[in-house]
Amino acid sequence: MLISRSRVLSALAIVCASSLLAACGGGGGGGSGSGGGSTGGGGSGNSLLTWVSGAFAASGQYANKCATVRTGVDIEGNPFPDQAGSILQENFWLRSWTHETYLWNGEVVDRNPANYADPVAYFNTLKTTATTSSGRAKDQFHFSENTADYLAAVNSAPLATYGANYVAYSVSPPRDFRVAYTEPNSPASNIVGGQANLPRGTRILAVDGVDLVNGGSTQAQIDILNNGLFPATAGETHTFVVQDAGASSSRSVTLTSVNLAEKPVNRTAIVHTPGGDVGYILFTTFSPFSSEQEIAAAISAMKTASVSDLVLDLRYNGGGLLAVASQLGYMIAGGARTTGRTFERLQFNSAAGNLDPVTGEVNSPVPFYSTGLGFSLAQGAPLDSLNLPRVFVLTTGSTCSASESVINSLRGVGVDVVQIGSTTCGKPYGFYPQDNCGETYFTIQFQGVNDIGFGDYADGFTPNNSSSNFGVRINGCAVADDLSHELGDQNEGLLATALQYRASGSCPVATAAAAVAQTRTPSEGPLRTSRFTPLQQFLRGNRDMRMPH
Amino acid sequence: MRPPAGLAVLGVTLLLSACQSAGEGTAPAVLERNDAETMAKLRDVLARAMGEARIDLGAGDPTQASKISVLPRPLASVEGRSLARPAYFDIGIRHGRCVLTRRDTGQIFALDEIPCRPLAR
Repeated sequence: MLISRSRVLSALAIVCASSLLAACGGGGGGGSGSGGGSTGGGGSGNSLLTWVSGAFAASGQYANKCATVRTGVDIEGNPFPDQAGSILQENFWLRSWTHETYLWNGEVVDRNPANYADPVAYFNTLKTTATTSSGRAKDQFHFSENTADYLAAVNSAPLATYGANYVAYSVSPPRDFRVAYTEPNSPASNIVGGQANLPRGTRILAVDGVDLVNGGSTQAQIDILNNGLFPATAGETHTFVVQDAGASSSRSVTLTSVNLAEKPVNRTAIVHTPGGDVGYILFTTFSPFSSEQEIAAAISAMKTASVSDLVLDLRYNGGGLLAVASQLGYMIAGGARTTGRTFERLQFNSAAGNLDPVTGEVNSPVPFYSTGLGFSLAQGAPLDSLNLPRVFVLTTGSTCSASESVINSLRGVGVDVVQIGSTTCGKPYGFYPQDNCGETYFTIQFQGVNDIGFGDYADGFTPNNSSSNFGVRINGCAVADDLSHELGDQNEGLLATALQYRASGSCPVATAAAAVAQTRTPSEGPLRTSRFTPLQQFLRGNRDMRMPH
Repeated sequence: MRPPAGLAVLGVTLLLSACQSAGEGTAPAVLERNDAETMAKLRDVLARAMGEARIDLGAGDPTQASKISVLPRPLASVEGRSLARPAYFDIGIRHGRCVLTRRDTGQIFALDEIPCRPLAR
């Protein structure tokens, strides 16, 4: 369960006031990770603030002792837990918390907290420097952000948007921003004059008179571009010059932003083939909580249609709720394959034993959930299943985390996962966001493994005929994302390849070479104001970004 | 069933019994109403139970089923592999009074001024 330290402490404070804590000998669920795995401690005063290499007091002794104390309540109305402290205490908390909960705690160099005047700078050292076999950093997901910003972000849905989700192929001149897909019934997808405002593949050429491709030489121009692409509020009207995919001429589009929640199941289709009907589901996120209801409804529709195969389009799905991923796994594979099997087992650091070092709870495997869990489906409501021995999954580098867990966990119970597209992002890891003194820290705390204990895909999953030297190879075909056709269109490159593979059992001859020759790799540049840019070239319509000069 | 006013004493009594097994002497129940006022009161009780300033309810109708889910905090965009799950509560009647039992801890909370009735079987 996602519980930050501040929420745990506020919960405990209220429970204590009700005399429950004493009566129950410790209160309920969700520890704060302040105990396990530490040595030393128990002293007071300066002894706790003297660095001894390799000796760690419990993080709880330093928690919420802040150089700058927040007073009052946060935007959720919860009182701040801060007490007067110091930067040194904040650093010691980071050090002990890392030792207790970081997945690779044995690979962190133990540095003296007193040598760092900025907790965030110190935190940035508290990670492994190892690399994967491909040479990229083993830990690409180590970051923090201001807690007020974090809370504002998670509490702000729905957000102002046109409903367009962009992909950036180049963030430096000549810039290349295109529309990857649009939300249904949004300003971007509305039909005007017989044409969608911003169909997939549309290139953005200018925003409110500023040249996006080659302009943006001043901060004022950059602000205009950002403000137009990512409206701050509903009701903003901006004008774009755009070029449709395959077109040589441009056109002008004026859009007004609206508050819109992302629709997790963006679209579905039934493809009729001589070999039986094939279901297609574009599933773009395992969150927000409506994803549970929407994916269950989509699968039920596929079952009603008696599809013989399913193409699950996860190419832009960066993950979310692992529980919904588990439900999806069940709904694809069915009870015979999943009953009594593990969807994902979490592996924490070696000192954790059989406990989750963050919550203190027993580390129980995540099963394949076969019923609603109470997000947006009533808990206990039975889920339909397709009972498929095979599933086609469409992927790109934006297919990440919980999406990858679906691939891995289905493979773990013997489902043939056929991957069509490009290498996934490679994130078998997760974390619990943790506030301390106004900064929310994200540090990798667990790795997910499937029913047969496999979870080493830090370089992603890649189709068998890929030219890539890295990644876990699975059945399928390497194909570049095809922005020249709408998603769900049988002629769209990835879906067409899936259908062809299904019909012939092999990849189209040109796909591997084409994937190499034609792939226009989206930029990996710093596209957002957020410090978190883990191979996410895919830009949601509602996110700010920093426009590089 | 309508709980009486002056529930402070009842509340203490029930809270102090929180370590008892959730099932002991508690019969499943549903709320009699799900109007805005009732649901606001329910959310207040659940917020106190969760130790949060406010909570959001998950799917389900507490006038039809005795199960209530409380949603976890929404995810940040960077949380690609979240273990977040709802917290579960069961509506029941205990010693003639309407209560909520938190399933993972067994803690019991009085449903002040929120009428309930036995779950029809």
